[in-house]
Amino acid sequence: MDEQALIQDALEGNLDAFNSLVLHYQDMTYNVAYRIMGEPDAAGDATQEAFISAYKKLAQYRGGSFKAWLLRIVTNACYDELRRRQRQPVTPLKPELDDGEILENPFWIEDDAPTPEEQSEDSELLTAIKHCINELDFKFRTVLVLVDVEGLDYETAAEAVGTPLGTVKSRLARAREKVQSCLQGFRELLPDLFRLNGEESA
Amino acid sequence: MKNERKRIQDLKQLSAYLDGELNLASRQQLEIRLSHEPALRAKLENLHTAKVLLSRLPRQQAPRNFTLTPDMVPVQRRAHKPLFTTLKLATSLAAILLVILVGFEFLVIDNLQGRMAMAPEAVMEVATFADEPTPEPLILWADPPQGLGQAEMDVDAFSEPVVELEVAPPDVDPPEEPVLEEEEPLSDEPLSDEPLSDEPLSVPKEKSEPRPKQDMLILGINPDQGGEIIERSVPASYMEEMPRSQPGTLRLIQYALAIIFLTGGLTLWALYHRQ
Repeated sequence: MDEQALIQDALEGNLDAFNSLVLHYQDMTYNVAYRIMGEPDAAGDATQEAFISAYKKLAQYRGGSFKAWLLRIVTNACYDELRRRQRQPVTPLKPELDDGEILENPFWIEDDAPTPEEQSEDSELLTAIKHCINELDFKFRTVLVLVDVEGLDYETAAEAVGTPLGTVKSRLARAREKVQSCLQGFRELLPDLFRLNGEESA
Repeated sequence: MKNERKRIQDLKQLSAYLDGELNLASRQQLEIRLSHEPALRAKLENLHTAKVLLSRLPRQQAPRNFTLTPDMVPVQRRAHKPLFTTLKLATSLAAILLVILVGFEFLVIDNLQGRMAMAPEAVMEVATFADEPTPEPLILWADPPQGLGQAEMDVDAFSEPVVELEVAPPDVDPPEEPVLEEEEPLSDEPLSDEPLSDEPLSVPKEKSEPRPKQDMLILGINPDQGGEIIERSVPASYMEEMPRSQPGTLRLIQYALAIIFLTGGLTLWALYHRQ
C-alpha cells in the first residue's frame, strides 16, 4: 500500500483512496479506542468519528507518521466521546413498579450475555487488567494503551498525544505503577510467574 | 516531598529502563543501583510484570467496517480548492496590507500631525493663509518658514527675533543687491523698545515704514507691493505639497482592506466547516 499516494488521492477528493486507509488502520484504531473507552459501543462511535474527522482534516496533515497523526485524532475523539457521555449519562429510563416505586436499575434492559469482546476476555485476569486500566485518568490511560497495549515507541506515542517525550515517560511510569498497585487486589488471579511483590513495592 | 520526588524519578528511570529508553550512562548507573538495592529491584520486577500483563491483552478486531460514504462527508474538496486558494491569498494579502497601512498611519502621519500640534499657532496661520500663497520675499533676513507645518519647521523662528533689522524706505533707491547690515553679531537678548538708530541710513523718520513689533519676525520685503514687509511666507510649492486628502483616502483604503479581510476570513471559515 502506497500510503502517501493514497493520502494525496484522498486530498483531491478520492473517497475510495481514503477508505483504503480506513481499512488498513481500522483494527488498530478500534483497538486503541476500545482500550481507552472501555466498552465497544463507545469505541465504535469514537472510531467512526475519528475517521470522519481525519478525512475533514486531511489537508492539515503535514507529513511524518500518518499512524501517529491518526492516533492523535482517535485519542481526541475518545476524549470528546467520554466528555459527551459524562454530560449525557445513559440510563434515562425511570421504570415504575405496580406500586409506583421508581426502579433505579432497569434490569430487564440489561443483556447479561457477554459481548463478543467480553467473550474474548473471559479470563478473570484480563477482566482485572481491564478494570485497572479503566481506573486510570484519561491522560495516563491513553499513554499506557499506546505504549503497552498498542506497542508504540515513546516518540510515536508523544506525537500521538501531542506532548513532549519527557511527559510521556513520566505518565507511562506513573500509569504502570498505578496498574501494578491496582493489580495487587487481584493477586489470587495472577499466575505464579506474575505474582507481584506487593510488600516490597509499597 | 523530597522522597516523593526521588521515588517518582526512580520510577521514571525504571520504566524507561524496561523499554530500553535510557541512555548508556543512565542505564549503567541504574544497573549499579539495582545490584545494591533489593527494593529498587523488586519495584522493577513489579513494573515488568505489569507491562507483560498489559501486553497480553488481546487485540480487538473492528466489529464492522468504518469506511466512509459520500453522505458522511461532502466530497467537494476538488471543487473548493481553487476558491480556497484564491480566498486564502486575497485574505492574507489584505491582512498584510492593512497592517502596513495602519502602521504607516501611526508611524508617519501621526508623527507629522504631532509635530504640527507642537506649534498650534503656526498651524492656524497656515490654515488662514493656506488658500492664498504669498509671494516669495525679495529680501530675507531670516529663514522663511518654508514648509510651514512640515517636519523641518522650527517653531522658535516665530517667537524669537533672529536679528535686529533696519528697513530701507521704499523711496530710497534700492541697491541692486540687498544689503544686510548687522550692527552686532547674533544675540539672544530681547530687542528693546527704543527707536532705531539713524546712523546706518540717513532716511527721514517720517518716511520710513512703521517699525515692526519686536516679537515679530520680518521675513523680507514684497517687491510687488511697494516694499510691504512680509511677516510670514507660505510658498506656493508648499500649497501643492500639502496632503489635505491623504488621511481620508488612507482611511478608505483601510476600510476596504478590513472588509476584504473579514469577508474572506468568514467565507473561508464557512467553506471549511461545510466540508
